[in-house]
Amino acid sequence: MTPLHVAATGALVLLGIGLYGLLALRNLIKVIIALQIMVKGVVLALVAAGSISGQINLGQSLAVTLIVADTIVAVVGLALAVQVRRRFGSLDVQELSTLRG
Amino acid sequence: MFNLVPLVIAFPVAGVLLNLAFGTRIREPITGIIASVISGLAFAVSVLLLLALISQPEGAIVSLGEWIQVGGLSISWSFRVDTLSVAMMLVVTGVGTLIHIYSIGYMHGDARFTRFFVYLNLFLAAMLLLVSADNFLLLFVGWEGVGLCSYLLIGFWFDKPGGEGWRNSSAARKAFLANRVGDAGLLLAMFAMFWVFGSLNFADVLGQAEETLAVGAPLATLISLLLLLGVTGKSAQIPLFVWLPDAMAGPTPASALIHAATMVTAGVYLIARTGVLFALSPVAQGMVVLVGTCTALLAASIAVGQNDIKRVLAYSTISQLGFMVAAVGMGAYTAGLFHLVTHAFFKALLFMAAGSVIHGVAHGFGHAGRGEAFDPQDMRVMGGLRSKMPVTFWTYIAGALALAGLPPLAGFFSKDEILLVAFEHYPLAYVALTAAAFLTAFYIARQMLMVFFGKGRTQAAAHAVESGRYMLIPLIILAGLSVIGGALNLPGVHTLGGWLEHTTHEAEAGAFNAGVAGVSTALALLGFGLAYMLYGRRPVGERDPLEGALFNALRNKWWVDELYDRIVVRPYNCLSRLAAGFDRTVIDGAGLRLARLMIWLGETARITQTGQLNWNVAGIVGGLLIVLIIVVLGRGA
Repeated sequence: MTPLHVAATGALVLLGIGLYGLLALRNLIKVIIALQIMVKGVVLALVAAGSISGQINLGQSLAVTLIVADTIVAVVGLALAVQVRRRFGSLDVQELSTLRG
Repeated sequence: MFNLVPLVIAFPVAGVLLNLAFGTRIREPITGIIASVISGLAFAVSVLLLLALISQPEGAIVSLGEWIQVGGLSISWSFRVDTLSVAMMLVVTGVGTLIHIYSIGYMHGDARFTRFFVYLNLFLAAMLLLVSADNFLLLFVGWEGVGLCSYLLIGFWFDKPGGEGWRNSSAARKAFLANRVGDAGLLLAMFAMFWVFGSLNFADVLGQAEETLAVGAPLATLISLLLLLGVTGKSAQIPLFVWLPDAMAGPTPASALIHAATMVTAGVYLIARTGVLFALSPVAQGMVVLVGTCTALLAASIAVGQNDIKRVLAYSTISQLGFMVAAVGMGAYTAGLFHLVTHAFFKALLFMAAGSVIHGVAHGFGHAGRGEAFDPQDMRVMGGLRSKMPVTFWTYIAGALALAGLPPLAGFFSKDEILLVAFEHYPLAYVALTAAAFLTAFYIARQMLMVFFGKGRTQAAAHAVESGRYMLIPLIILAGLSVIGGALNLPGVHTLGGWLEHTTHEAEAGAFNAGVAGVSTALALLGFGLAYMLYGRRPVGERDPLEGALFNALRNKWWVDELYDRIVVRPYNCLSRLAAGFDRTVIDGAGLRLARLMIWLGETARITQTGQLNWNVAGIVGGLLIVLIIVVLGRGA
């Protein structure tokens, strides 16, 4: 088992865990965490892909960029979660299904 | 001088606008006086045109500019001043002015006094446009305009209580629809003319007709017959005459102006104007004579059986129009137009005198003050009005004798001229028209006897009063014209014939025939005598002395209305209902069903939209998987 295999497997495992979280969890904070886990899987996959294709620099710089962008996603997501909590008094995503103008 | 002709139309239009703008703010008689003065001004302009024509009889065409310019079609606002159009203008404005003045008295106290005069002025404008237009399209504008005014005036009292208002508006619709049939004919004739001649100007069409079309050419016949259809609509000839008797639902001055003196003569004017086309088609000419003669006889016979004072006059009008149409069909344009002019005098007079009678009797009824059902137009409730309404009586006598054609009144000369032409060229038509003339004398004598002679048969008749001076002065003037109107075209002198010759190019001037004149005079006297025997010697009650199967047929107007109801109205209503059903079930149904399908689809698709975040993610993932599978499979293949 080469390190690349390890990296690819790790990426898939992270994606799977994140996906499961997205599908199954009801707490908005946990959903955001699951999303983060998926993104981490993608970062790992980018580094690995860069290594395989021989363009290590490209892969790593993309990974760094993604980390920055992902941080913003996390911040916005958490800010939304705070607002949801304030407005609806709950973080359960199943209770957020009503459309209101 | 000829350039004044647009003023003839501009004055009535100004009257319409004036009364529309200020009519609500000024008091009752003023609006009527404004309208009458306007009409008088139009008459004055017509007189000026007449004077100008005397020194320059070929007339002129006055153009105000282009109206429509599309491809080969070029229509301009141009008016034709010639002996024919000016003769019509004089009749329309002259008689029209008198009727305006009369209306001031007749419509006194009506809630819509001003509106009535607006309609009258609008009618004058349209009618003058009709007679002065220099192309068929402009003529058609006037033609439609007078039709509209006719509709508005027939239905003027659309809000009378007790179902009468409903009847009035039905009469208006009937008139409008019958006229539409005729208008369609005129439109088609115009299309055909444009197709053949490439123009709608009188000068182009009538000038080229003889070169373009041979005598008896099918196209000439087609155009002439389509024109004739238009004439039967507007001039109330067979088969479209049924609207005119019902048109009596309108106020009496409107009946006098539109449905007796002027508008209904538009058809006669049209044939006289397009005489060149009719001359090219012996078939069409024969049809015109046939239609006119049959109408004259049929309507005169129906008039015998009517008890409504205005209906008798209505059928009399149809009958006299038949005389005119037959005359112009025979090519005797002078005779036809001569009769048109004299008829305008005495029929307007008779209608307005009848209006005066109705007024007087209705007043008498109010005086007698009994609340039973009462129809002030029914001649059976009248009688003995001779002494109650002397001016109306004497003017009525003048009109009635002129209508019956007794010498030396106006109707004698004009009717005899028609009979003379028929005698020389169309023997059968002569017999029928003479019979109609006999019936004319009979029914008008019957009417006079029932209305004015004997004793008052009801309290209302006994308390009738003479009308006011606004109504009597026009009656006296028209009575004078009815007496001396024959001087327009005395045998041997032919003033009118010489005058119209410049336009119609009809050289023939029939000599006076003592035999023809003698026969018709003798028959008229016979009619009077017969009427006196039947109606003059004893009072006429509910039962008419002529009671019997034949009289019943006459009273029921030969069941023409019922026949039309069977063959036209009911099938048409049936068709309408079918079409309405088709519309509801098929046309609207298709739309509705499509809409329902869409609603169902939406409802079904809504199930997937739960608003659950997890479910959305599952959808995204599912979609991603599907795309991936497609990509992978696609690469494999």
